[in-house]
Amino acid sequence: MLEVEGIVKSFAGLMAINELSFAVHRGDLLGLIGPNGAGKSVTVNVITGFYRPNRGSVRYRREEITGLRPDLIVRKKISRTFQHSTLFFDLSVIDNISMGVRTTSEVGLMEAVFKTGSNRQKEKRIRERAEEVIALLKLERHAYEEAKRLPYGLQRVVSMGTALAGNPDLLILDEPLTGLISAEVEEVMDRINYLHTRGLTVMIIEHNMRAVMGHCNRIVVMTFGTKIAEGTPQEIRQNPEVIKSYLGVSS
Amino acid sequence: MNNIKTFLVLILLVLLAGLPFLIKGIAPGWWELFSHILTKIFLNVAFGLCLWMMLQAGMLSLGQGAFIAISAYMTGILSVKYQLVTNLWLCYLIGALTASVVSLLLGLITVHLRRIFFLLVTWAFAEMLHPILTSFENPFGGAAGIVNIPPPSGISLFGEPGTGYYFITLLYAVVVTLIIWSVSLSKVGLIYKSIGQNDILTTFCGIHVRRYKLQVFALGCFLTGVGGGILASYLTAVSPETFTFFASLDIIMINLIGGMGFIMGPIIGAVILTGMNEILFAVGYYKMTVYGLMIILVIRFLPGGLISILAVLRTAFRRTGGNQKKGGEVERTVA
Repeated sequence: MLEVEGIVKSFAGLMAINELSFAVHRGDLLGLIGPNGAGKSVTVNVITGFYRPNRGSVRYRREEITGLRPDLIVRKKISRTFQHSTLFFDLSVIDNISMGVRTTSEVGLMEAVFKTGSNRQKEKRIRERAEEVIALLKLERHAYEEAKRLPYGLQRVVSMGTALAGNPDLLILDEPLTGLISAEVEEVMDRINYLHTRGLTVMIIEHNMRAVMGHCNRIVVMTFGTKIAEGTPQEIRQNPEVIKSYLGVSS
Repeated sequence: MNNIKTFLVLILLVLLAGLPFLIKGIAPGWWELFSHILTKIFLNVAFGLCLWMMLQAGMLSLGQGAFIAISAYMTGILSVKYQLVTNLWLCYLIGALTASVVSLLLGLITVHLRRIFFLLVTWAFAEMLHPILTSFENPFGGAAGIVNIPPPSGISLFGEPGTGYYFITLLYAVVVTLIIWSVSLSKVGLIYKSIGQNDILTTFCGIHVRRYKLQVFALGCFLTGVGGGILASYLTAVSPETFTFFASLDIIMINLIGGMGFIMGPIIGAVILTGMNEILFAVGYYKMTVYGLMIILVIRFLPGGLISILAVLRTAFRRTGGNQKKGGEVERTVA
């Protein structure tokens, strides 16, 4: 589904990713794991078009998307969340999620001014979709609350909702568990699992290997901008390279 | 709730439409002063709202005076200087389109800049205009500007011009308010707000942020421009001194005093600022001192503007009873 091939990205001569290649297959729950500073987030930013790689290519459904504008990549149904809780804090939960809803043709200014029939229909569809996502994530009770008033864990869920509202085929979650207490970790992972079982392809970026190990079907391990291992959780656990540079240190 | 709002707005409109006849009936001598102040309020409401809409998208323009000037001058040039267009309504439209096109050109090189730079660029642009207007006799009329700008056709429908301009600017303010209101309630308005809060996240919602920023800038300047043309007719003259830095500052003050959180903010702000301007006319020289003091006080003690007082009251009211109903509504729609 998504193929990353030979990506090189450096910042002012500092190599962030070096010759990184991996693939996400349809139906995967892929974990991209590595210690802080391994280049995981840079990888996500390259895939989603926020950074342009120095070399290499990203293909999505056999189509070259390297260096495409981020909003156009999103429109190809790749959604992402951000490392920190990134929301429209002053907007209500339903408005946050409505922002993620993508209509086939964007609401135009003129139809918004004159409240045309097609405009009413679009707005109604956006609202219905937002309510669907709210029900899916069990956020009904908070729909009209300002996002900044929610607890941290729920804010994470809302930002996932914004990403989901666009009906993505691939959802990239950048450290969805950071800063959560263990009960919240379970809750968020449960929701992710639920979405995965409903057929969504998910890629989780995480430095906490234990949290995601049990849930992923495939794992890619990165350190210092390169891939050191790729495989099923069992293979990763037994990989000497991973034990040496990652598991050995943190466990 | 919405029905009450619509009802209140309708009552206000009926009152405003009847006001001239009321005042002329009771105290005809006062009408000249009243119509003058109210006309200015209506213009300021529209100018303030246009900036408010841009502020939603995080675009603080310190050059709105320049866009008023562009349209006002265009009206003067077309109708008096070269006498190309005799229909003043058409002049306003062309003036507004010119302001809009200029804002698009300026926007193309600036909207992607960070807020502070956008502010500086719009300010620099407005300042740049002043010497050009002053030094070119052709077509701007130099320091003296352009005089004898005629009123639009159909103004005599309302009797004397004072009443005519009252109704024209009232209509202008109402139309601008309606446009901006319906935009702010639509997905487009939501996109503007999102851009103002977090443009990167908005990009990752699949929105071409730059396009929407250009759109709101051009729309704001177009609507402002229409008022600029009307203003030129109303003042019967335009000169560089009409459109100094303070014209732009006034429009920001309107939003600051009224508050930017709600659409009512700049409307209240426009009423207060216009009234204040008339009173401060007496202190003349010290006007800026009072302005400066107000900016400091509002930012320190009332950062949400005067409208935030109302918002606090409303939340207090909701807490006492409105809340439960709202929760029930949500559950129904989801189920």
